[in-house]
Amino acid sequence: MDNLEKKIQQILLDLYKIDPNFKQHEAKIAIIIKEVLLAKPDTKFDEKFAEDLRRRLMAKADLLKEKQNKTLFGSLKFAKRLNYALGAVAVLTLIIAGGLLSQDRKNKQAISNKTLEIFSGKTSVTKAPSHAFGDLALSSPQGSQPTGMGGAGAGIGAADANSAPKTALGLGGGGMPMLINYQYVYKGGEFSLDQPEMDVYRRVRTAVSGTGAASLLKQMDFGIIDMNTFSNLSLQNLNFAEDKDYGYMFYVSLEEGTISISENWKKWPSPENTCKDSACFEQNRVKFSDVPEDAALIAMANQFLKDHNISTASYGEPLVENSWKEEYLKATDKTNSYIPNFLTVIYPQIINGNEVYDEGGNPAGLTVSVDLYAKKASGVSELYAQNYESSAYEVETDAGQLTKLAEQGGRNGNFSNPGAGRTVQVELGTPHLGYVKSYQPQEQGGPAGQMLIPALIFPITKVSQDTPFYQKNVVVFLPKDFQQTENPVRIMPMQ
Amino acid sequence: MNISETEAISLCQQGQLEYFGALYDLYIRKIYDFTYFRTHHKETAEDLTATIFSKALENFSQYQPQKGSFSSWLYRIAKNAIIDHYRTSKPNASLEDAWDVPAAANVERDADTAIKLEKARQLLSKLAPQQRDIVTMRVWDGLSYREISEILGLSEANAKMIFSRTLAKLNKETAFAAVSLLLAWIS
Repeated sequence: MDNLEKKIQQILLDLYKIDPNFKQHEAKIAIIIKEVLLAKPDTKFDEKFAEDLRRRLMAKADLLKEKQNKTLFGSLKFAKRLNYALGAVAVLTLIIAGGLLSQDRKNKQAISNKTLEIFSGKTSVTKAPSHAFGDLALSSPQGSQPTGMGGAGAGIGAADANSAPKTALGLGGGGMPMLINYQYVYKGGEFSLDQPEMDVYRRVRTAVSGTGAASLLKQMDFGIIDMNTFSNLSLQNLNFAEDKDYGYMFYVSLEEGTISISENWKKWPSPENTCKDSACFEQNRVKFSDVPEDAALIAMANQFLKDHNISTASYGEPLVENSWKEEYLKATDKTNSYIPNFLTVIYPQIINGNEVYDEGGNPAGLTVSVDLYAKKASGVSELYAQNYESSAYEVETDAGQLTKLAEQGGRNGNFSNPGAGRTVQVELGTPHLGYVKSYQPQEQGGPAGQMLIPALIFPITKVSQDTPFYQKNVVVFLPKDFQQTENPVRIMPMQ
Repeated sequence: MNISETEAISLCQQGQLEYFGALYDLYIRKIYDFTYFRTHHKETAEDLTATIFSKALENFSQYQPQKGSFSSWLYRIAKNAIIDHYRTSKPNASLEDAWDVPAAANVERDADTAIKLEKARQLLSKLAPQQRDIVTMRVWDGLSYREISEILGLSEANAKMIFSRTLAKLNKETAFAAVSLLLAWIS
């Protein structure tokens, strides 16, 4: 039996496990399977291209490694309020993972006496000279923000709220997708900006003290490797978990000064993973009636933060990310509509008295995920020390120019398509001042810096037709550095 | 370099980026094919593949294993790079991938691929982008449902549920379409 036939047979066997009734149509299905597999195009993979790319990437890796900041020594401080999970002995035990633990009393005391306080729970700002961060618009048109996975727990309940306006596609009946021309129109009132300069904030990463941890690492006997043969050791990350039902998993980045909390997936029940047929899936599927009201979700999130002494002093009033619900309520056939297993409660960050947004115009800040199966908070993300430097930058104050930029879609651009079948007008209301979290490459190289950039937030107040449209705000950066950009920066949506 | 994927990831996260080569070797063909299936053009697929691996290398420190597999993280970078490619090169159109591009449009495409894909186009262009994604990811890219769900931000069960219902719906319209979709939902 050749490879193609083997693939066909395997697909058929898998199919019958789901529904044995398909066996009645085996001959016809086998033909169709073969047609689809044969339709797979030859991708013209070029080995030379692959070799050249590998060489270039390895050269880049060498450069990145040289530039990486290996200085992880400094004072490492954990919040006293998180000591239950980050006690000194617990840290040592978790690092070793089964090896022999050094019982050096002196070093153990040295660690436990260094009260670790990464997260003070308060926002601190150090003033830097004007234009201290260089050219803010250094990023390429593709943007340079980290492409990491945001959101605690599964965080997969929310629809992609960072997306630009979506185009409705014609479904069924054949034919090509129908494009829509989105036209942004300002309908708000007059506004003015009287400050020629505003502060831009740059987050200061928290460095790790290697003094205690590194010396301990060298003394640890793992049994299968001698750590004393290595030098300049520094502790970069910690992973540990609660070994109990509904326990949590913690990821601490000592380089970044961040903590993420998620489900210890081994200890959370997941009915969907045990289902083998559609009846079981259907029975365990989250129903719309299972989804708590926003007030209840926020209460769960608040309680979790309170129980674990996670301060919300730097954040505003929480809200639930509900874009999935908008789509669900609009759907005529709700049986096919998506209902998430997790929902996200967002506590918008507050800086200088203003709310923080992401580049898509969505509130950004501390997030708490709620598992709808378990009806429990399942994780926290964007938890980090709020230490910033601030620097004044000249800003655009011409309201006409700013309005024009908003009508062009602001930071993310728009998707006008004059030749499209229909035009949808998107009305913008009077803007308010906010800050936008953005990642900008550093002139000196190294990891991209997290910046908070003053911006006007134009709310989308009305969309002229009933069409799928998820954007809530249009963001226009105020610093004049960005006004020089010819085309709006398109940020790669990763969440 | 004889090293496992897990080891290579761990070493890269410790700053030893020279081990990225091991991950590159494991994924170069998969990622290249993934981009080709969605661009239908060799040079475009090569450019995007280079961009994808470059971004993965630059932002490796942002990858968190407890939030999903490395494979899914890399494929998500790939998917978004493809979307960005169409939205920056054709800013006046909302395109997810080559399937959304009208046949007469002035978009570079390998001629022989276009011919061969005509049969597939008859089915795939009728689907919503997400449905199409899952069909091609499962049948052509050979990704598991778990990987697909992580890439698209869905739970595995919901992904299967949604598509099984889509299958049932299309089954009423054309026998060919219905059975072809069945292929995508085999786990």
